[in-house]
Amino acid sequence: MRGRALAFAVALLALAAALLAGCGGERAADGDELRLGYFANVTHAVPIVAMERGIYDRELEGTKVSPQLFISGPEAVSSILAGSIDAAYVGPGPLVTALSRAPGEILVAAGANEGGATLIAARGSGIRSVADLRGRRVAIPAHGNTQDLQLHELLRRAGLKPADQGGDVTLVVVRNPLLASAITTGVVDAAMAPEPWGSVLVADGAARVVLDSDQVLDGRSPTTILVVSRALAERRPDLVRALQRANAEAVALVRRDPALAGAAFNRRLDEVSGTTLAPAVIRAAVDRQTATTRVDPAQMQIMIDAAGDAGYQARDVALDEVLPIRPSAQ
Amino acid sequence: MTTNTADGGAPGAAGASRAARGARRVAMLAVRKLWFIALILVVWWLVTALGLVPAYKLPSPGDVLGALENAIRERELLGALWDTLLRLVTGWAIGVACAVALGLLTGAVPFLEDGIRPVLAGLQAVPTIAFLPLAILWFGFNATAVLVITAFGTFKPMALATYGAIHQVPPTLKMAGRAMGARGLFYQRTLVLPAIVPSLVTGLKLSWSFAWRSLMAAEIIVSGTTGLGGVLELGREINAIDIVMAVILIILVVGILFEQLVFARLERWVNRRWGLVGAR
Repeated sequence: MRGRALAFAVALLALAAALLAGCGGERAADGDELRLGYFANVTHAVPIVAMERGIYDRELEGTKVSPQLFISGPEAVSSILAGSIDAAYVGPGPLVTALSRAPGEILVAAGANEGGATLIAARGSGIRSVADLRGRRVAIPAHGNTQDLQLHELLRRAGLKPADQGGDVTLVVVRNPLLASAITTGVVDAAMAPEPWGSVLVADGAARVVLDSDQVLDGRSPTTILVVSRALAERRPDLVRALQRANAEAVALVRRDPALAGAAFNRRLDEVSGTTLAPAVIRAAVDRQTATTRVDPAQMQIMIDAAGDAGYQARDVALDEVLPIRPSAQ
Repeated sequence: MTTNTADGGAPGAAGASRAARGARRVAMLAVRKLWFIALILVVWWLVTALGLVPAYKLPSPGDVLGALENAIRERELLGALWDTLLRLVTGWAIGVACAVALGLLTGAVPFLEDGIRPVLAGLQAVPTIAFLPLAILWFGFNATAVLVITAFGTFKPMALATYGAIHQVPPTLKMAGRAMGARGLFYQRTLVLPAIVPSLVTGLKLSWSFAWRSLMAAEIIVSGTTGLGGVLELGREINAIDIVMAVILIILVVGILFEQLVFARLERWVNRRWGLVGAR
């Protein structure tokens, strides 16, 4: 009797383990659908334009691209690891932290955007430089995301440290849509914000720019890169190549006509939230970034080092893990 | 000493065999209570050691212990635990105090009870965390909102438990009190309050677990606050499932410790003090 009960318990646990192993189901695109993550940020103008112009559908003929909206990178990379999306536009930050724990599970297909992050401070906070952040509270969109790592690097260069590492700058996670209220109510004194959120708060008069996007790591820090799951790269290298082509096409379009990016972003924002940004704000946001397929190796190394310093990495990620795979290598 | 030597041999041997029997009983009890946990650990370890599930989805028990140690050393996990416990105890105490006060007051005045009790019962149908957005808008995206939610999460079940307790006071006891001339506050303090204590203990336990739930959910969402919820969220953000599991382990251990060290003792004490032990 007891033996049978024990066997039952073991079987139950084995079933649980099997479910866990299969969870998220490796339902990688099998020809009819490709699930693509992106954010409703201006820094994601490239995928937004590509969707609006039907570039993905044209390049990935026969495969339907299903866009999935995320608020920040960690959710998007987790979804890739869990197998619930096949590809995503994310910043290098979440990519690096995810790869340190799941080596080889996510591959970089191409760059999409550089710059597009500003250090802003609440009006009246008296913060005029990175050094003034001492003893203050600074908003980041998520732990380990690109703006968080950029801020870690800026602090390091100014000889400062985050509070959780024994320093005296407190980093507070504030989701992008809540940033305005966090700044105006004094929950934080400053923010490392991806566009358009920086431009929005500056235009509102709630905040002023401390470091403009071209002063944040020379404006060359990759903000948005196209990544794909290992499963997709292994099973459908043709789709990855098609994604790379679509991405390059959209990048070229945005480079030729940056205003196009702003307009497409506003239409997408209207769709997902029912609001739009003023033309001047959109222009300012678009001006703070550069569409490019390049993924600057030196900048990626900065991100890797910053993730290591912050204690986010389980192991040191090698530079070539976060550089684009060559089409021939697929 | 010498007085004992005459009959000292027999009790000594009996004592030894009783000790051996005691030890065996403890060992048997340990096996009965721990076999499933041990089985889980073995299966968990096997699944990870055989590589059936990648480590980024399920780290090994050793990895989780390592993450626990690392988080204590480098991420001030104990500080976060302290912040959370402080918030839990404070919010719970506020919720309990308000609930018992309101329960006694409305329990004494039928008019109040008729109006207020249905509202409370209705609120019970709304998960406390649904009030978090409201709390954030009223109190800000900060620890105050989290504390308010914890207190409110405590308040609802505790208030209903207080009502329930008041209604379970035996009518004969009430009649006896009244017949002896107890009235008003004196009646509440000397008759009702002592009579409802045993049922209140159940309410305290229940509201404690509700407080935990509300607090964890709120801490995870209100990310500016330090605490275990914040560490859980950090673990998720940096894909560190070992940190996430380490924090869950801590929450589990804290829960068991409170249950064993606080509530079980309180219950035993109340049962003895109110003479309820034999009744079971």
